[in-house]
Amino acid sequence: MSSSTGQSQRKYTVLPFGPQHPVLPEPIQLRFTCDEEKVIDVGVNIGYVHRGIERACELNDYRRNVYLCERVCGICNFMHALCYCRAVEEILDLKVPDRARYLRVIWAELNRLESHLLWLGLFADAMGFESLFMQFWRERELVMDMQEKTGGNRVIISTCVVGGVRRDIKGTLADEMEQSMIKLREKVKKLEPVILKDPSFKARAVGKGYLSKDLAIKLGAVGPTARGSGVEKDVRMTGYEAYGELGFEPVVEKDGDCYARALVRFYEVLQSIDLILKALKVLKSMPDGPIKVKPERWPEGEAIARVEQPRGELFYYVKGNGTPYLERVKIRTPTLANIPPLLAMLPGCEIADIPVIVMSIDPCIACTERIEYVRRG
Amino acid sequence: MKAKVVLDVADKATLIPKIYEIAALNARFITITCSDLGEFFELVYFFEKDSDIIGVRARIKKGESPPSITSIYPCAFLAENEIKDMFKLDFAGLNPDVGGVLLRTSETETLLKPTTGIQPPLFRATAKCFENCPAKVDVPRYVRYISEGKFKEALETILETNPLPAICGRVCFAPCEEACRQAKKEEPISIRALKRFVADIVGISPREVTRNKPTGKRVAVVGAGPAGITAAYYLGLLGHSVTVFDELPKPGGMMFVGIPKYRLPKDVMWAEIEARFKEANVEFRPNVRVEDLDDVFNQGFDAIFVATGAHKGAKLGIEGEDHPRVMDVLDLLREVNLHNKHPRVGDKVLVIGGGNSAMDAARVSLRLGAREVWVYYRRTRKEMPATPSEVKAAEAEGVKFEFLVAPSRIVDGREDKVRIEFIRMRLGAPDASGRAHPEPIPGSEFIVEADTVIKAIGQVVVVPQGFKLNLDKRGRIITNPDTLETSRPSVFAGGDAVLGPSSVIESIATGRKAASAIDKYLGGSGLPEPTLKLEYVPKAIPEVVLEMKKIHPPELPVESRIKSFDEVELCYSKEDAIKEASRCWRCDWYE
Repeated sequence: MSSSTGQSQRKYTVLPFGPQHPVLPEPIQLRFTCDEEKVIDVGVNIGYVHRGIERACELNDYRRNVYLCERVCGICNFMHALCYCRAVEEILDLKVPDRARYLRVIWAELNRLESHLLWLGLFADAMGFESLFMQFWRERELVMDMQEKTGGNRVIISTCVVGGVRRDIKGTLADEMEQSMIKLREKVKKLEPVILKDPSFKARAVGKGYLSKDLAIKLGAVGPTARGSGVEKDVRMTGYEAYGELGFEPVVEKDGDCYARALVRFYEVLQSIDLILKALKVLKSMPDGPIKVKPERWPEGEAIARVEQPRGELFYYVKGNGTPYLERVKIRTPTLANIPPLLAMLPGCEIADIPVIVMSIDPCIACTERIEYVRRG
Repeated sequence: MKAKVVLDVADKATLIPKIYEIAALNARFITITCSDLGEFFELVYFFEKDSDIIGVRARIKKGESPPSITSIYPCAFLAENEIKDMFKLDFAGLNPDVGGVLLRTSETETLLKPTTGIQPPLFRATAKCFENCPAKVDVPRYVRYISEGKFKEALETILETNPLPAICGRVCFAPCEEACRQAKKEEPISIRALKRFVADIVGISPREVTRNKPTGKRVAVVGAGPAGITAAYYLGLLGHSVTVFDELPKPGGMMFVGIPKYRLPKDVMWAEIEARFKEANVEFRPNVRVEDLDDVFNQGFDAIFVATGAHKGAKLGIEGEDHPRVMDVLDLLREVNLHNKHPRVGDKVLVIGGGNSAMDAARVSLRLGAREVWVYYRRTRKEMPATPSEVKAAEAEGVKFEFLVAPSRIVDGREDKVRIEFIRMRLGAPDASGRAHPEPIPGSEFIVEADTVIKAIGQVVVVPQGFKLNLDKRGRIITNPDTLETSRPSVFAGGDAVLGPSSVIESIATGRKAASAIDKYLGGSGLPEPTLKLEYVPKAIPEVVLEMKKIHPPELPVESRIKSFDEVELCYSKEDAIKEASRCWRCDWYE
């Protein structure tokens, strides 16, 4: 019998990336369709670590939710608490004392330092630059020490409450923090040439994972992902807490590639140190005073709050009904907003660049999960 | 510098226009929140415009689906899926599959597209067209080859199970097209026309084929119809020495005498049959009427395949049926096809029946000079067994229809005119075939006068007595359905002689089955079962495929076609064929 033997057809491979992958300790699955070494298509699968925090927020007294919200994300715990408190404070019409506003900035920026230094290390690790990874993480210890000294805990510091903060930074502690930040700035500055000049760092990052400005806006990119593409967007520009008084200019890079996003984060580290130093200066010149006000009624009504988290804009929607228990808390973390831009960055890249590009949005998956998605079939 | 919050209220209907308004402001989508308020869900859509937050509040009753905004803000698909998952709230138009919905985006306008590219399937799913084809031709594969421009491979694919692509491409009633998923929107892929295109473009000439080593066994095939030709071809390829007997001077059987030339040009048919016979080294003995199988065995054959067909017209069973102006459709077609005569049918022709042969009778009559052709059928248009395309073609040529009428008797008229009495019918309860059974309405008789009455109410199988085979009540040969063996040893049967009047493709299926069974009987290993070969199937993009319009094969204009027996349907152009083939949805893409 005669039969046809068709010409060898082009074969495409489907490459699952995650949910367990050495680059990402957190579970997200990206499915790449690859033409040999080139990625031509990507699909996403999330929902592996849904924890039901939004629902849990409806079951607690609104004041205790602060500690629950902190646990949405360990690394930017203060930001979540801050964002939640800001939303509740808006419902309750609370005016936070001046001192507390500056203290909030300090802790928020400490969180940003912690996160960005961690990310810079992980980014170096993703491209196989082990020594840089070690260096960044060593410097990060200074930040962790400061968090422990001011908040009593290395990670979840729980200093933010509805109406203000729980602890003050003054006297020797403030001096120590100032010294520590100056030291950190020196150390980070020493690493600047590596980021700016190292050929292997540039070879792995320049031109990879391009996201145009238009697309970044259209797909709703936030944080350094958007700023790396030239979008001048930072929630801190709205001047919440003390940012207005401290004077804030966002760090923006125009290239839209992984390198640009790395630069944004690197310069934000230096910017954060400056912000902390400025805030400490103001704090020192400020007379001692109250650091919190007591809420006098139960929240009724709804409000939204936005905070610039290390990864981008954090969004809280809170709705109260006049009881201590809230009716609805909605959390939109920046990683969720950055997944669509990520999916747009990936097609066209090489398989070897996948870890670098995925890391470049600084994915924080556990924060993102509001969804329990089961793929059909 | 404080962020302003503007809240807008929209309902289900005004939501999308509102979102469009916001999109026009170049606002950035933030998120959607949903809360359960007892009787309804409250959705709040948040957008950011120059540090201001714009919120749109919409209340959706439980059980209703809000429209998905992913057509405006594609990045909302995660947020909508989140709500869908948490609140069991369905968004109309939301792709529930988060996997691969967002694609290479920098250039395209819409971002929501399913995965493209080729994915190696674990196995191919059984496509409906393959499932419905009696001969089990791997339809998805050859359609795919055509869309890729690989016409030779496409033809080889067809020839694996069907040796007559040029013929089937013209006359097959295409069960594959009925099953096609595109048929759900009335636009099935023209699989039949594509097959014809491939056969025509590659050319009907003997191919280079590899035949098995001669086995030394001899097989006789009685009847050179589609079943006989198919069996002879595959048996020849398997290395047997095959001789085909036929009482007609040329091969083709019912395809020769029973199908009008405007549907199947005879030179194409003979060229294809000859090519197949040549490839398989089959000997054809025309003008031999086999009356006794013993004579055949005496010539030294090891096995016989009987495919004598169903060549006798069924009777109406009414008074005066043997009137000279009442003829059977087969007699008429035989006259035209075999003897190349143009019998006189007069001005007014009346066809009784509703099948494809009734359409043939009507359309042939037009070509023979009839001015007025009526088709009288006892059920309604819906129940007509003729393929809709044939009915449409007949109607286009000017054939008129009368439904729910049955002939009751032929009133003796003049010698050259026939007067026939009809009775009106109404549809009753469904009968065994599932169609409504027509019942006569008493007292509704009426008389019609015509120059010729052509009956096209089916054929019956007549097997010569000398074959000494067991027959069933309707005269068909009784066979083992798995092996097609008859009651006599070494005798196999297939085609219409076993099935009753059926179609070319069904006869081809039995022919191939018989070839395999005969080979096994003669000590071979038979033909491979028709299966779907493993291959890399590209997944189609539904949006693109759905937008493509069906391309109909060109046809001769009605005015010129009813004047001659020229082929009515013409061949696709190369571009059209590739376009038409790429409308395939790839139902065999296994996910």
